[in-house]
Amino acid sequence: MSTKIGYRDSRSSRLTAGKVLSNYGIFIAFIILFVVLSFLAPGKFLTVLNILNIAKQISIVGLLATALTLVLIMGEIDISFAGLTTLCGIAVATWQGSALIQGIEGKVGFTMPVPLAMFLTLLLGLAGGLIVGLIVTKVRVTALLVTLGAGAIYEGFALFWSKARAVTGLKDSFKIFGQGYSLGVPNLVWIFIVFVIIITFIAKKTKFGRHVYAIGGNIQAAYLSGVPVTRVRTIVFGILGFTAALSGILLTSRLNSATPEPQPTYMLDAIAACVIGGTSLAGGVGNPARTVIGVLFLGVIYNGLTLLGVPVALQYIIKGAIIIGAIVLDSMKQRTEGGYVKE
Amino acid sequence: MSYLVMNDITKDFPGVRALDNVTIELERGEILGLVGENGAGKSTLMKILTGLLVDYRGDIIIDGAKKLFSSPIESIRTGISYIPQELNLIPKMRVYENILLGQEISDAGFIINYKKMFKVSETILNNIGVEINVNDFVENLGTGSQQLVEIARALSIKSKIIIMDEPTSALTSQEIEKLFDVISNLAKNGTSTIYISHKLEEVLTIANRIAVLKDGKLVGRGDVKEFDKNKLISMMVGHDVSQEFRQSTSKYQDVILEVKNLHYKDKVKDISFSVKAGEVLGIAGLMGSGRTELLKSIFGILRLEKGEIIISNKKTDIKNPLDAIKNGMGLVPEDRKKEGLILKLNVADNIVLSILNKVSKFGIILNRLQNKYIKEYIQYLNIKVASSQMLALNLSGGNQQKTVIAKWLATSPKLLLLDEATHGIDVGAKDEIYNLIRSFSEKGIAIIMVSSELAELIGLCDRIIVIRDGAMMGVLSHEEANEEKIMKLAMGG
Repeated sequence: MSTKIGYRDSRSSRLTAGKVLSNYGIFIAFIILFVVLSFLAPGKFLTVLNILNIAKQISIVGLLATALTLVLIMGEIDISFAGLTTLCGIAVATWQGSALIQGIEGKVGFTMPVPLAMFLTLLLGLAGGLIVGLIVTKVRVTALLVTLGAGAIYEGFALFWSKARAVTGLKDSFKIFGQGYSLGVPNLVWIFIVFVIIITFIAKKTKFGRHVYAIGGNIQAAYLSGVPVTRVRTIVFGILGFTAALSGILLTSRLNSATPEPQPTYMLDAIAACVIGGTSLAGGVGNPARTVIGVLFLGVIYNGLTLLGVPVALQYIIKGAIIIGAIVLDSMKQRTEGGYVKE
Repeated sequence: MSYLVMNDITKDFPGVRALDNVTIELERGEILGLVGENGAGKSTLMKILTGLLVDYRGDIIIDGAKKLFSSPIESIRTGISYIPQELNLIPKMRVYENILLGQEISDAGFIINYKKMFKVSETILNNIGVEINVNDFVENLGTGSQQLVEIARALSIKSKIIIMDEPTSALTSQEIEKLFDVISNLAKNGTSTIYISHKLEEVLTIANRIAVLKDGKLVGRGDVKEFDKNKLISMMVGHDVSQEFRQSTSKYQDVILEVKNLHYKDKVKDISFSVKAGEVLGIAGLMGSGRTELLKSIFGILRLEKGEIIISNKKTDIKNPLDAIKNGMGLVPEDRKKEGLILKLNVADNIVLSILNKVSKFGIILNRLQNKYIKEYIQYLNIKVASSQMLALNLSGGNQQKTVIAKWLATSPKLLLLDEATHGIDVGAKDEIYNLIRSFSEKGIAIIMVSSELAELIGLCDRIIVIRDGAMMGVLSHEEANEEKIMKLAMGG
């Protein structure tokens, strides 16, 4: 009889309605949403201009969400990236010699060419992420608390650096990233697409990516299998820091100015996009490419709500409800898969 | 009729009969000693009595009434308390809070009445002749006193039967004496005790009656006067073990691993030995004797305090598992789900996890390279999967274990460390793993295996090291090893 025990869960090989829904539910929901909005806002929603507008709006938060996916797959969390995005936005603005702070006479910051300012900003973000990563891995503290503190530090520096005012007067050559178009599509969107491809490739096709999944799935087993756990975890936080810097640069370029107040929705939207895209907060499961669906889903909903004239206050409530709904679905999936095992 | 009767209890796990028509009886105020080797079925029997396992055949009859426990809570309410080896106290709370945890005394339904709780706790402790300040924090008490607090807690819920699992494993001899006084007092007052222990002298001292389990069967029971230590040991090990698992091979001569004077806390004490290529070295000992810690300190998981590890005649510093792997070692850990596998990854990903360097170029994993290994090892180890994309989560225990072994084989190891490699898997898969161990040995892989199943060690190993309390008690060759000798060394007879 023992030879018959091949695998005991025959459900896993069958395609059930529940499986289809949990795997492809988000695609179906997205299509329904798309169709419904096309009818509710005729001539406004389904236009090239509006679609490009949505794409442009989601690109920056999309970058953050894609990198955050790696952190979540690894079973960690980071809530400092919005603060780092703000700080890096201020940095890249003040470091290009022409910048002005509103209401204050004279130029600010060091004078350096735009490419150098951008390069140093990216380094700043990378360093921020790596430092958080080192504290989490070497000192072994919870990422939630470390990044909570780090976020406050970033915002403090941003306020200090900008004297709590908006920084304007940027070089013209800097605008091309956030405002330019190539082949009729905004550069922002191109950058987002390329970034998603790179991160997905890293996650799915490289040794490093496999290590990330292994750590999120079972950090102890990964360590015992020879996975360089500390290094991989630190680098993943570094990648998110780098991405925050990239987002800060693009945001400043798009708005033509930098403000020291963090974008209030970035944190919420990025985490929500990951969860809606099927990344498990418990770690070990997720796909950066699917996070894009989450980002698109949120982007289309906000756009639709605005087109339909729904007040901002109500938009927040709807957004919150969607996030809780996605997390509830995720935890229900966890339960049916793993179960509360009683010996 | 006895106060408690567990009548004809049978319990099957997939492929294994853990209990086979076991009947035990317990009178009021009686102390029953329950003995047997690791895996003999003691824990399974107690899990049934405490409502942790619900799917069994047979009856539990308490005070003449048949009981069906569907959860631990029901068992506790019936008056059965279980005191595990690792105590269940809350260290940062005070003694009286622990004793009355879950049944706090309150005024008006919600305001805690400390005075009453003090008094009630003190009365319980006084009744069993124990002097502990109920206002102390539990973390400041010695293990012996903590044990007594557990007993007081059991009494506070008016338990009629107290089950103690290896209660003396961390106690000093004075504390043991105190504990025995308390247990005898309880017995006089009508509380019954089921006393589980590997320390046979203690069982013979404290118990009124003894029940002996072996391989899920009750092989002996009776008044304590009918037993002595040697009789107990020979009943526990039996004599029906076939010893034809393997013929010792000595094709290879090079020493793969030599360890000298290894020390890790009080778990590994001054251990030295060596293993040759193709040799199977067994490590026997009771649970908690330091077997797992020995393997873990060789594999770099536990940092050695003293001692040398010499691999292929070269002194090597193993700081972490990665170093161990680079030096040709692999470890199949005791708990395959927690330490061996990434359950959320599929079988293929698990197999190549430790050889990603070999199957990738410039950090990119090449399917062409990895598929070769995946196919080869699924076939070689006969891992039964519908496809290599199946999640490790959905495999049976035996196939999960084979997947862990496949991961290490893929690294072409020189030395494989196996910690309870056949634990909890069905008989067929066990046989397959035995065959694999034999074929690894023929290929010249050195093997160190820890196992609680003595028959397995005797059948497979060229030599067996027996350890007790972290120290080496003796080495037995394949020819001289038998269960009785091993048990005597392991128990300090």
